[in-house]
Amino acid sequence: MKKYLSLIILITLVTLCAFSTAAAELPFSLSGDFKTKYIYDLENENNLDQTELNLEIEKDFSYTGGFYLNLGLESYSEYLMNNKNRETELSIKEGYFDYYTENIDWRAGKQIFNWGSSYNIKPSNYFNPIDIGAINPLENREGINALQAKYYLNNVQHFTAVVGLREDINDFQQALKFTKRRWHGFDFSLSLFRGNELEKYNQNEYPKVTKAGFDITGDIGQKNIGIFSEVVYNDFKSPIFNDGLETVVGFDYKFENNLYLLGQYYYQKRLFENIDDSQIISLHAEKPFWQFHSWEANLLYDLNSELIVLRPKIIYSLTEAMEIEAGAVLKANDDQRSQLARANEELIYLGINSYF
Amino acid sequence: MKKISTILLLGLFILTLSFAAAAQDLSGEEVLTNIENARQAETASMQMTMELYNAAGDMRSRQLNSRHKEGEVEKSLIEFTSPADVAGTAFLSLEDNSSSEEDMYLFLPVLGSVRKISGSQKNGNFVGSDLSYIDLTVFSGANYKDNYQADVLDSSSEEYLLKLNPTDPDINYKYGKMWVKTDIWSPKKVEFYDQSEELLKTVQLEDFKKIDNNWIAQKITVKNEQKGTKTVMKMTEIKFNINLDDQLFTTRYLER
Repeated sequence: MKKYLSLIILITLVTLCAFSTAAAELPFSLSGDFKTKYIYDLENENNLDQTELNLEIEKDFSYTGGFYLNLGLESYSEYLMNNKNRETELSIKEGYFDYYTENIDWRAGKQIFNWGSSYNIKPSNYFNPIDIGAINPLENREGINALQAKYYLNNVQHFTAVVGLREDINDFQQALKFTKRRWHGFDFSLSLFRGNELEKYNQNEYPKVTKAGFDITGDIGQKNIGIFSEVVYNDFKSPIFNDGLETVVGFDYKFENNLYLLGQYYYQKRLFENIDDSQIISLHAEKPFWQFHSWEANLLYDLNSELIVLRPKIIYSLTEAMEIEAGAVLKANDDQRSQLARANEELIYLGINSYF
Repeated sequence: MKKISTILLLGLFILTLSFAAAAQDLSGEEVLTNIENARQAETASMQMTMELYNAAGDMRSRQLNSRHKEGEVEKSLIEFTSPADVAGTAFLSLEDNSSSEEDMYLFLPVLGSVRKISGSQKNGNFVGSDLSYIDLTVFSGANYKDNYQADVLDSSSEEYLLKLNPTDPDINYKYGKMWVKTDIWSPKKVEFYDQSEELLKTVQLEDFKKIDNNWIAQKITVKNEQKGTKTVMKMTEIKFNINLDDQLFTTRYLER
C-alpha cells in the first residue's frame, strides 16, 4: 500500500519537474494540480487518504477552435469488510474538441456543463451527476459524453442544444436552452430537457423525466444585492413518481471588509407519496485573512429531518501556487433518510494543494 | 547699480505674482478636467505584474492582461495569466453610460462557465490587492469627475494639491488629497482618509512615460497605512488606441 503511494508521488514529482522545464517548448499549454489529503472518517473512525494529479492539456486555435483534455490520476484508500484497500484510477475527467463558426460554437466530447445560477444545489444542472467520492460531492461533477452547439443570435442572446450519452445507463439525454443576458441588469434562461434523473431511486432506477426550467440572476437595490432563482418542473414518465416543482431562491452580497455571504432556499415536491417535500437552506460565507489566506464555511440545513451539515475550511497559502487546506464535515441531528446525510460523511482532513 | 537691482527685484516680484496668479487661475474642477483631457485613448491594452505584500513583507505575484474600450458601453476585460492557481480567471465588465447600469461576469476555469456576479463584488478589494475597484479609476484618469468634487488646497507652477470630496455614495473615504503634476496633468500621489479622518491609503505613481500621446505611470504603489500591506503594480506592456474587437468583450469569448 505504501509502495503505491510512493510510486504515485514519485511519478508526480518526475512529471512536474519534466513539465516545468519542457512546458515552454510544447505546442500546447500544460497545467494542472496535485492534491493530497489525509482524512479521518469520524463516523467509522478510519484513517483514509486521497492523492490526485490532474493534468490539463489545452490548445487554442484562436478564432477557429481548439481542444482540451483533463486527465486525472487518483489514488485513495477505502475500507471493505474492515480491510483497508487502495484503489488507483486513471480517468479522463473532461476531453473535448471545439469548433467555431460565425454564429455557432460546437463542442464535442466529455464535458461538464454547470448550468444553473444557484450555489451547489442546481435543479437545472441536468447532465452531470455529482462525484460521490469527493469530499464535497456537490462541488464536484462528473463529465458526460455530449455534443453541444451554441447558436448566437447576437452578443446577448443564444440558443444551446445538447445531446449527451450517459455511460452508466447507456441512454441519450437531450436539452435545448435559450439564454438572454443584460436584460435590465438580469441574465435569464429557459430550458427544456428530456432524459434521466441524475440520482438513483426505486430499484436502482434513474427515472425518465422531462424537465422545463427557468433560471434568472441579477442585482437589486442601491446596494447591488445579488439575487438568483431556478425553477424546474419535473414531468416523470413513470406514474410512481410525483410530478412537480423543484426550485431555488437565493441572494449573495460582498461587504467592504471582503466578507462574502450567500444564502439560498431549495424546495422539491415529494417524489413519492410516503416521503416529505424536500426543503434545504444553504448558507455560505468566505473571507480572506492576512492578505493571502482565506476561510470559508458552508451550512446546509434540512428543514424536514432537521439535519445540519457544517463544512468549515481554511486555505493557507504556503508560497506561490501552493497551499495547505484543512477542513471538516460535521453533522448534527444525523438522519440517513435525508439526501444530505448520504452525500456528506462526517470527517476532518488536512491536505496540500499545488498548482502548476 | 542700485537701479538695476531694484528693477531685477521688481521683475522677480512681478514674475512670482504672475506665476501665483496663473496657478490660482484653475479651480479644482478644471484641474480634474485637465487630467481627464490628458488621457484621451479610446482603447487601452496593458500587461502588468501585481505584487501583493502582507504586513510581514511576504510577497505573492499575479500577472494579468487588462483591456479597455470606451463607447456607449464602456467595456473592460481583465484576464489572469499567472500563477497557476488563478491563471485563466477573467472578469468582464460592461457599463452602459446612458443608464449607468453595469453587468459583471466572472469566468473561473474550474467551472468552465461564465457566471454573472453581483455589483456588490465591487465593495471588496480588487483580487486580493490593496485597491478597491473605484481606486482603479484613479489610474485610468478618466472618471474623476464622476466620483469626486475637488477643491484646490495649494498650488505652484509645478503641481496642484487638491482635496477630493467623494460624490459617489459607494466611496467610503471621508476625503482624499491628490498631488497633480502640471507638466503632464497627472496625479503623482494620492492619500485617502477614512471616516475618522485617519490616513488609510497612500498611492504613489512613478516612472511616467508618454505612450501614443498619453502619459502613464508605469509603477503604482498602493500602501494600506493602517494594515501595513502594500500592492505594487508594474506595467510591462502598454498600448493605446489599438483595434480591440468588440467580440473580445463578450461572454462568448470568455467561454471559449
